[in-house]
Amino acid sequence: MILVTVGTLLPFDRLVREIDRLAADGHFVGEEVFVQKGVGGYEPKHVRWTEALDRADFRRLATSSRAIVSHAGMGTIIQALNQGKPMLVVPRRRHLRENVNDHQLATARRFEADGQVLAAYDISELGSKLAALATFRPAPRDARPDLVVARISSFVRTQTVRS
Amino acid sequence: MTHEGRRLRVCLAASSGGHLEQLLRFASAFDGHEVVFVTTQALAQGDLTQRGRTYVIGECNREHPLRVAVVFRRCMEIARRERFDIVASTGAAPGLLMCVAAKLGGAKVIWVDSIANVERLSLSGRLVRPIADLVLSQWESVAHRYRGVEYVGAVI
Repeated sequence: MILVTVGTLLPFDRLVREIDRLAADGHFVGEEVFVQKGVGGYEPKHVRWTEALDRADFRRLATSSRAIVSHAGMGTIIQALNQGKPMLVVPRRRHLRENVNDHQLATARRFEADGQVLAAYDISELGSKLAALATFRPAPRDARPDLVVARISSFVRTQTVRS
Repeated sequence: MTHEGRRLRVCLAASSGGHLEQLLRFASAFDGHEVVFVTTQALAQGDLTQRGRTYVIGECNREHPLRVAVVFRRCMEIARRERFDIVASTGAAPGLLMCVAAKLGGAKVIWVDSIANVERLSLSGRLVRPIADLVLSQWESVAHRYRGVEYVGAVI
């Protein structure tokens, strides 16, 4: 199963439409596609979809998926990296009114450069990037949440001696 | 005399989605203290409520000043009721507003900028900096651009 997700805050019909178009063209033959379409007005006709998913449902679907296609939102990128899922991101663009700024572009470029996601910067690339996703394996990350916890813990300790 | 055992009331504020996911990755830094969650969508509330009181304040961003005012008022009400010792946030705009409201009530502010901001601090991060007591970026190159912003690692 391929999970397509766009977050719940702003519409991202550009991605949802293209997935639906590819499905209509027989791009996903033999592969189930499930779309979390968000608040956009476009309703896919060729794939199963829902508007929103809570955290538990999202995690369950992400776990059972083979690959994830998403906006370049950190929530989804985190989930995909956690689970080692191959991921293709399409950054939301400000000039298309898909976000309040273009930070998803920088996010996509950075995580793509680190070998952790594939990225499609133009929606017309989606089909070819989907093909590449079949053999893509994300590079491991050197995350250190323990160091962040340690730094914050030491700050918190300085507060307990107050008053 | 020190008060090592003093239990603090900590506000953990983040927008639903990626901001909240990142916040939860360092929430264990507050183990032993009382945590209260503030998030933006009821959808995200689910498993948080077992860990602490949870407030849902709604979404807002810079494009809709009226929404910002509504959300800020909710933040002020929460801050007044809870009297936090510390507020910690990863953003976005609603997290910033909660930081400001808690700071006005005397809380210390911890800001961990979202890993999505790979080139410079988020707008919220830049705005909260003057009132924050600890600011971390998850990118070394970003932290280097700002005095007082630290890098120790990424949570993801």
